[in-house]
Amino acid sequence: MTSLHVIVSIVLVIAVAACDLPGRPTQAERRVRPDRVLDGAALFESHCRGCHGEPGRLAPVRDLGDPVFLAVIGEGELRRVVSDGVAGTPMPVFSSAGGGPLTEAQIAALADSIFARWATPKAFESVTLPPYSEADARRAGAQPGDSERGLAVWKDYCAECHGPTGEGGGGALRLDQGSFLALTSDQGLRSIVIAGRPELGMPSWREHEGKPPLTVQQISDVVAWLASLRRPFPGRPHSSGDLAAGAP
Amino acid sequence: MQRLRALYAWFDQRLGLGSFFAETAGHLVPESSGSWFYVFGSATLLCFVIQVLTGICLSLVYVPSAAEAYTSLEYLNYEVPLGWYLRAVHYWGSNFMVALLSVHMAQVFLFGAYKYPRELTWISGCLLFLLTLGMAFTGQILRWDQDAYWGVGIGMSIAGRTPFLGEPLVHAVLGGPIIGAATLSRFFALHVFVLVGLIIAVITLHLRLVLRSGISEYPDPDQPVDRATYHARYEDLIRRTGVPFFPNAIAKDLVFGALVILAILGAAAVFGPNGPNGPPDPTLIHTSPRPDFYFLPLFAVFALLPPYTETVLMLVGPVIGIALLFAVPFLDRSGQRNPLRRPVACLAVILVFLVLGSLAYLGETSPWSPEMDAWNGLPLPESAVAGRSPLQLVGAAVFQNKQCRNCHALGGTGGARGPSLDDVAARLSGDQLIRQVLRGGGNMPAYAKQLTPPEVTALVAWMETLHPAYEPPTHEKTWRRKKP
Repeated sequence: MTSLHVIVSIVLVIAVAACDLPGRPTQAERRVRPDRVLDGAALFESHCRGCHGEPGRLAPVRDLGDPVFLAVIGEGELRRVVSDGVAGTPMPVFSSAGGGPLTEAQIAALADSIFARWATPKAFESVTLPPYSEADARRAGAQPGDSERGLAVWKDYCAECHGPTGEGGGGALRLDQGSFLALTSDQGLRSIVIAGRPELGMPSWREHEGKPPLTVQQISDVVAWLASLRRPFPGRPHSSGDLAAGAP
Repeated sequence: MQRLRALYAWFDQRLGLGSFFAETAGHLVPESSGSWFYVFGSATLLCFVIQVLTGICLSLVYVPSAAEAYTSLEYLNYEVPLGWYLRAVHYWGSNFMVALLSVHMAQVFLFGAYKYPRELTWISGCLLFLLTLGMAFTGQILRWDQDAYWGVGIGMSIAGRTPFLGEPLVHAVLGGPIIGAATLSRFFALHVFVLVGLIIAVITLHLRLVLRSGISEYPDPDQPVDRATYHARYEDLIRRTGVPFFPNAIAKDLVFGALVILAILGAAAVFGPNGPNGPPDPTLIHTSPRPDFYFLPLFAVFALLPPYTETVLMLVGPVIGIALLFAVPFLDRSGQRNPLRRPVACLAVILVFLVLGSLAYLGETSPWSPEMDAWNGLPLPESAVAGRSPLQLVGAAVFQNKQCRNCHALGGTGGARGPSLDDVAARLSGDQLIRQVLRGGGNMPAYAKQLTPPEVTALVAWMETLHPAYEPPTHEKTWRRKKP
């Protein structure tokens, strides 16, 4: 063991140790241009969870980890909604073509990752899912939604929690407020009727206790009834009609 | 051995090596100056040597061109074996150099070592301080990333405000009116040639002055400096207690120097290099550039200055500050050197470090900047969502969507520019909330044109639920007052 050996081995030990030193930059720390981030999970964290929250947790809007919703909407439609947003609601446009922050490839990666992580297609193989949109329902042979028939469905399925005409039980769950309806699209109402909001205790179309699942027609009808509650000038308590109704 | 001696004698005869050594490293210093307080200057010099060595190694790979600098840094980080470590040592070496230099200055100031006859030593030291900050600034820009890009931009915007000289100055430094291809080359030349050359020259002067005036003795409170008798007393001190600088006094410097090297190597191994923090592309607005720690206090000051004072304070303030620093030996003409007898000096040092520390903390956290990712990246706390009605929930979505969270924290997360909203309902009534949202006020912009009536209604309906469990919302409080 000469001193040369000692020096060489020390240098080797340092060189090997240096490969795993905590300060060594990892590829994960490498800064990527924001429009080149293609990690769907990272995109979800930076763009979605502010409103949609983490899967299974309470959040202002729909939990994107809900497998029923994912099965109903399908990946293509989810991509479209992310790209184009939903006009009039808090869901913004995300595609760079529309002025948003994400490229087409990023939106695809985001949708892929949402479906890869939280969708459970096998669980729905034997389930007949209601059509996602009113247009799909029409194509499947349903008649256009009718608010009068919808009121009957409402009384049967929804009134227990939301009140006989949507004014709520104790105010907590009232749906007839003009501002709520103004900020929720027809499709948004329909998605809630179909997939529910499990994290809030709202059942899906087939989980109403002691009742058969809602039919395709019933879904269209009850959404039509809810849409009929929309007001011409929502959110303005000064307009006499709303003031009289007491529900801005 | 005989031959080596002969060889040495040959060179010694021509170069005077022996006498040079005796005059410099071998000269006698007061025994009291072999103190642990006297190690910071040599440690700073050691850092400079480390910076030069690692800098030379870095320059073998680094490409000083605007197009390729960033790639060459990534190449060092990820491809060159131990390239990241080289960058890390250079980065931590610079941090240690600025930190040790500051401590050295504070020690010299506290020990009154700038007093007669060492005024010029202090002034050359102040020059070295400025040159080191210049190295820090230019070095930070050679790390050609977003911090660098915006750092140059801000630095040059300040320089550009100088009356008459501003525009030519900016043109000279940037190589044009805007940051362009020539900019990086200019900063490279400054960092690698100009400033290093100046530093070496001024270090030489600094050391020459230290040798000429002698290392100051440990301050004795009962023997203040008296111009008439100081030299005789110092020479007497050397005669009585003088020890050769090498090896007696240098021992502690060597021990401390070894610790500094270990600390730099250790910090580099554990914390790694800084950045590069994103490509320097001005179209990437999704960035929050930040200077390295030594400029954080300035960064904070610039952010906090009221706009109407900016030009004056940014241009005149530093000049006054630097002039004061240089003038210290002439402003303080008392002879007392012991810090325990100089309360104002001690308080001044404490004050300066407290101010710089607080400003650096503010610069790091920058509570005045909105947190631009909060609205879509930070989930709302469940307590702000649980048990809310559909209208209130959609109001919470409006809150996130309109990016209110970027300025207003909730549950401890979000921006700090505006007040946290955890208890807003206990402070403001529904009408007051509507008014505040629509008309803004108190540093908040008006949102009337950004929100539709349903959005305001939903938002305020939700905000009216934000109050702590122990305090009812305002409308309940007023209701109680009306109907006791």
